[in-house]
Amino acid sequence: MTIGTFEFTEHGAKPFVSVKNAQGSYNTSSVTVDIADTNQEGITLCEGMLYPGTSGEGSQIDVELQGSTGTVRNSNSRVWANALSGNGYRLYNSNKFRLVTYGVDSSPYEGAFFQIWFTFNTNNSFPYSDVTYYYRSMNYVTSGSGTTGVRAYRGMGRAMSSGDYSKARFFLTSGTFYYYRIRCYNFFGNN
Amino acid sequence: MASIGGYGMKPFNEYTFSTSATSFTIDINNQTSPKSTLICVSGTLACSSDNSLPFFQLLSTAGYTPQSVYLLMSPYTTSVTRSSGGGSSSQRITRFYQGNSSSAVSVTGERLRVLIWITDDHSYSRPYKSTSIYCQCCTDYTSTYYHVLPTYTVTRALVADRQQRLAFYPGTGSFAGAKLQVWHWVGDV
Repeated sequence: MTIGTFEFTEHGAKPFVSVKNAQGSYNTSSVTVDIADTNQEGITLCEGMLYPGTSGEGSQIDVELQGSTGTVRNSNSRVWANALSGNGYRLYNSNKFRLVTYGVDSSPYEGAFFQIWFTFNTNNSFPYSDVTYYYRSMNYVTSGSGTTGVRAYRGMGRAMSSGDYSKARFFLTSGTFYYYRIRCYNFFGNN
Repeated sequence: MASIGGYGMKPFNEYTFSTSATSFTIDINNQTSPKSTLICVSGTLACSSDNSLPFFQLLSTAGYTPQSVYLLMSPYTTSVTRSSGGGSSSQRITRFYQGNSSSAVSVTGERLRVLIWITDDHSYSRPYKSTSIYCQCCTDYTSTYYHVLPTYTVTRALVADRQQRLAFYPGTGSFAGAKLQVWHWVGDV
């Protein structure tokens, strides 16, 4: 069943974005996906996995939010749980938020997995024009970031820029991705 | 009644308050035919006073009576608080003071955002009717040190009955405004 851009299949909701690099390539410096196919009023889920190449060994993973034309949008954010310190990693009016705070490894099965829920309230100028994101993520560490094992994170952030928030660009603090898969779903809209 | 639109489920309800209010109440389920079992509430609250600690109450369908709940609050810091008994009815949304700087006029103003998932199961008498609430709150405070102050809370009704309303209170002062949307995702019919 299809209504607008929303398609409900016999297996559940169909993603409005589905991108992947399953072949393995060291040339992917960042991955950008649409996140707001909800008429700027509703909730979307962006989930996936990101595996760095050897050049990304020990890097963190960040996310840059953009408008529909690629203009960078700022936000306040904080990631915590099993993060680098008790109070986590916070950013003020920044052009990014941190998805993974422990260094990622490039060995097989040691990439990062994540879910980001975006909430949009930007259709009306009043009472408030808000974009908020709530996320959880994890990666598996064997070297470079302390004891071997799973690292897990929770984070939140809120928009600080005017205008639409339509895209998310995933990138490593250094290096490139080798594999990735990202899907986005629009479960809740306003019409 | 839940319906599907061009971007997923259409809202079951929308609440917008643009004037000062000391509290407000929203319906989370259909009052005459409460069949939705997984409900999402999302939106923004703005306080008129600084240092507010907003909270919500789960209300009975009949009489709007605040229900006793078990509750737990887990802020991003390590100190978790929880109810020691069953006498509480007010669940704080955030552990941290909510500011009010430019809350109603600027995208950078201080506001409080919530994403709430509610399991509202009242179709069966056994094991028992139940309502559980999982709330994520993104609190703002203007200090450059704090800013985003996350809090998770979980709340469980202690009354086995229909719980189909939430009432929000600012804790101190009043709300300057709010916008909340309610979606029904899963039903049990």
